[in-house]
Amino acid sequence: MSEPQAKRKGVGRRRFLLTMLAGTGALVVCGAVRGGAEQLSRAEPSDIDGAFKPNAFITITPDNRVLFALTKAEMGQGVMTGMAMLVAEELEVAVDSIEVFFADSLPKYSAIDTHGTGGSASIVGGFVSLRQVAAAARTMLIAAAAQKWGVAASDLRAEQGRVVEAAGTRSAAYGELVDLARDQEVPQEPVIKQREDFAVIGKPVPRIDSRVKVTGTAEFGIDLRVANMTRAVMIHPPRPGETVISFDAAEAKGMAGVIDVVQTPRGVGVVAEKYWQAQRAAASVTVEWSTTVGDFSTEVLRAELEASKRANARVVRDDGDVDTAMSGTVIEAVYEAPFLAHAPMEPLNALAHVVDDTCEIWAGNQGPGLLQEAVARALDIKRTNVLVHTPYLGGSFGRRSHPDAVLEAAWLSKAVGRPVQVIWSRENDTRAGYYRPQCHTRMRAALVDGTVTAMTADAQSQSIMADLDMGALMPVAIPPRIRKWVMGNASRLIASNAVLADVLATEGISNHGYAVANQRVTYTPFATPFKCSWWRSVGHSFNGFIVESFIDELAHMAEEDPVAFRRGMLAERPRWLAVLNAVAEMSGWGKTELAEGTGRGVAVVEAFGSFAAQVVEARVEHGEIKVDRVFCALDCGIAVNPDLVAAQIEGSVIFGLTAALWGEITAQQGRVQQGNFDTYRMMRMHESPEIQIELLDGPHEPGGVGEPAVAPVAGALANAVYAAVGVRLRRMPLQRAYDEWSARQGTPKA
Amino acid sequence: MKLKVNGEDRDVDVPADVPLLWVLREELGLTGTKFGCGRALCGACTVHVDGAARRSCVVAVGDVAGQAITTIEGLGSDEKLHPLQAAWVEHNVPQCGYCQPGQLMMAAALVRKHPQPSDAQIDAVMSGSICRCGTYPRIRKAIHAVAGTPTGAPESGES
Repeated sequence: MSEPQAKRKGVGRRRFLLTMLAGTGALVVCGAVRGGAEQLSRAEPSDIDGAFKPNAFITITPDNRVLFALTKAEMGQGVMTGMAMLVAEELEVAVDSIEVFFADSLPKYSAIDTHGTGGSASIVGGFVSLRQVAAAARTMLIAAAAQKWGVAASDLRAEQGRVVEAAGTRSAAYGELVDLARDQEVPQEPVIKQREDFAVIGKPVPRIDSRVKVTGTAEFGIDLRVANMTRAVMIHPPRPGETVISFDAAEAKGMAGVIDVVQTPRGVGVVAEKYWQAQRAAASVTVEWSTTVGDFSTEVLRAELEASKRANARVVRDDGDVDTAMSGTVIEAVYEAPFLAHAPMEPLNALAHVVDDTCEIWAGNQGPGLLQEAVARALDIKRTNVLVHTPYLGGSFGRRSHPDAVLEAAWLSKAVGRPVQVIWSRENDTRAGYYRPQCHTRMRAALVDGTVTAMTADAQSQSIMADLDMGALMPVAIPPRIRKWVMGNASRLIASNAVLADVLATEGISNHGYAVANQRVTYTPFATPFKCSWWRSVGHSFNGFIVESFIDELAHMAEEDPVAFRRGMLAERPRWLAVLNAVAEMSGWGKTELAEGTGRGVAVVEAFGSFAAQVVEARVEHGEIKVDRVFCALDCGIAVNPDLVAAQIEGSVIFGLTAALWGEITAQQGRVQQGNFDTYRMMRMHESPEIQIELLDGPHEPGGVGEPAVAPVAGALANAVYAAVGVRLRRMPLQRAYDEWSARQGTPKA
Repeated sequence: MKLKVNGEDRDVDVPADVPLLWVLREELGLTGTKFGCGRALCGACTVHVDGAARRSCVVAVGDVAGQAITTIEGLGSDEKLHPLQAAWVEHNVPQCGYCQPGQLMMAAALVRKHPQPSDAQIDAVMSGSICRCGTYPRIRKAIHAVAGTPTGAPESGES
């Protein structure tokens, strides 16, 4: 299986999936084979004769190509460029000379990190380990040259893809050294650079995936094609949890191109030669559904949470003596946030090909191992018989860590005996669940002479952890018997383990930065027919809003400036203070006057190991909340690529504002009321604010970048609206909260 | 049915009411044009028909037979990028990149009509295209860079 790869191509045109149809050219199909370890595998771009492969990740060829196997999903966050920079830094090659390919779901790729993407953790996790991987290759190349020339390795150095003799004039390109390098000892502790020696890290290197993305040649999951493939449209249950009792597809089966109409555990799949044929046929299928979930309504849930006695509350944090300290002026406020869908621009899709007891998957995903596990279980085949190929992701924000569309494709492929690509409609995508949880949190605090002496948070939200597939998260090494037992008992285990369940629900609320001597945080989980999931910034996406709104209310109650009030409570928190001071300075807080009717709001959070402070300038015009400018100061430690960090902040602000202003998934009688972008509103060009950014350059190793700047924006916006018009909005989406406030005032929109 | 796509004559055998988007993607293999919403709400499927930006997900292929259809594959090439594509690269515009073919086709139609668009003209046209990654500030910069106009420039006077 070590046939030389097809001829060298530019970064984006590389054919990392062997069964793909490249352009309009011929199919290249290559049979699946068992590797030595009974692992389903296919030839990879790095299978090149004579290449030097010091590890699974790096390949150097005799003709000086450098290939890097990326084990992270490129979903827009720029990880492909960031990781290539880490490799380039230690390997001493140009970033744009590295050919990056997406690693398949093979065990060798889990050597330095999980082969999954999330938690803003890719650069954090790879900052040392991936540089060590590259440094090992560099060390072996230098050792090879030392052997070749009979000199000491210490007299040699690597630069620009060559090993160079410091004193003399000899040098050799890496490609000339591959044979000798292969025989060198793999260093156990490769020496990586100190910060002052960085030549690549910290530079605004251009994205290496831009070119393919502006020419339309980047291949997303939806663009992939294999021989003999079919397309499928899914008819999902109209209400979550419902199953098919019967269906009538007599008409559909007679329509052009239709191959079959198949019942699956997740609804009815209509399989046809072409998508448009499947789509037309699906419209003629009638399904009778079980009605198990009744009339779940998010409005009813709100009322239940408001009335709840929180009998199952778990104490997450309990400092000092809250009960005694909660006296004097006690302020109480309830904050709410709705369910949210992720709405990536590329609707969920998956291509699967089941042959006997093997399954090959092509799908954008945040964890190939999760898909392997889920598919293996669904088809009752071995996990190692599931091979996952990961293309570019057209957005994800957490959503593609769930295997639902992949399972559908696998079931349908098994049924029709051909590769099946399931493509969800936008409505499928919006309604299929795994939402950011709805939440209801009651905050209380005591103010004595302007000081917060006690604070409590009683949080209620659906547990994200309880809806996770614990079996899929377990390492491969866990024996099937134990795996099965854990899967069968996961919900009960989580219910009995407060720590596990509470981490995501109360992050940002149980570990905010404010000094309060007496504090208590409780968490009460609840269940609904919806499944919940991580959604960009996860618990911070609502807790940032809750904590920062409440602190603002306390500041106003104490008749103190919101920035000054925060400074007082963050005196012992230098990194928090630094971003707060920076954003106050850049936004002209307390210095420059804003136009009449425009207000400033501030918020500061720590999330994913980074510190983000924002000031939002907002106003209300004819009843519509308008955001004019957003300032953001971020301390993410070393910014590996400052321009891509800035891009993530810009995106996070717009993503966070979309949710803060308009985002909500609501259910009435079990049905999701949103479907497409007319009912699930996205921020557009004309609504997006001017965004100014300052990165604080600190001595710390990298923190997360993709999510932290989402967390403060809703709170900063709510605080700005209060400053602008004196209305405290405690419920997201804020525009709805404002509309309801207006209606109560009897002041119709102008 | 005869189509003229990116300057080439193409024959397709599909019913006249099939959306152009799926003809491009599945019959002609031009997958640069993206499916996002199916209802002309997001702009990911934008192509040019006789020079005008159209949402290919709601255009019946039969209605554009014989007209000049341009997709992202025809806007520029890897060897010779359209100035807007070059500006997109220069300003690190794409994140996930899924909406960008549609954004670029919208922007190309914009600068053809308004070679030096104001911010208001950019807003009016580009607000039809959703980017979930939030690349709008960079799209605006890239368009201004190509047009040679500063952000905040007054109306050019064209309509």
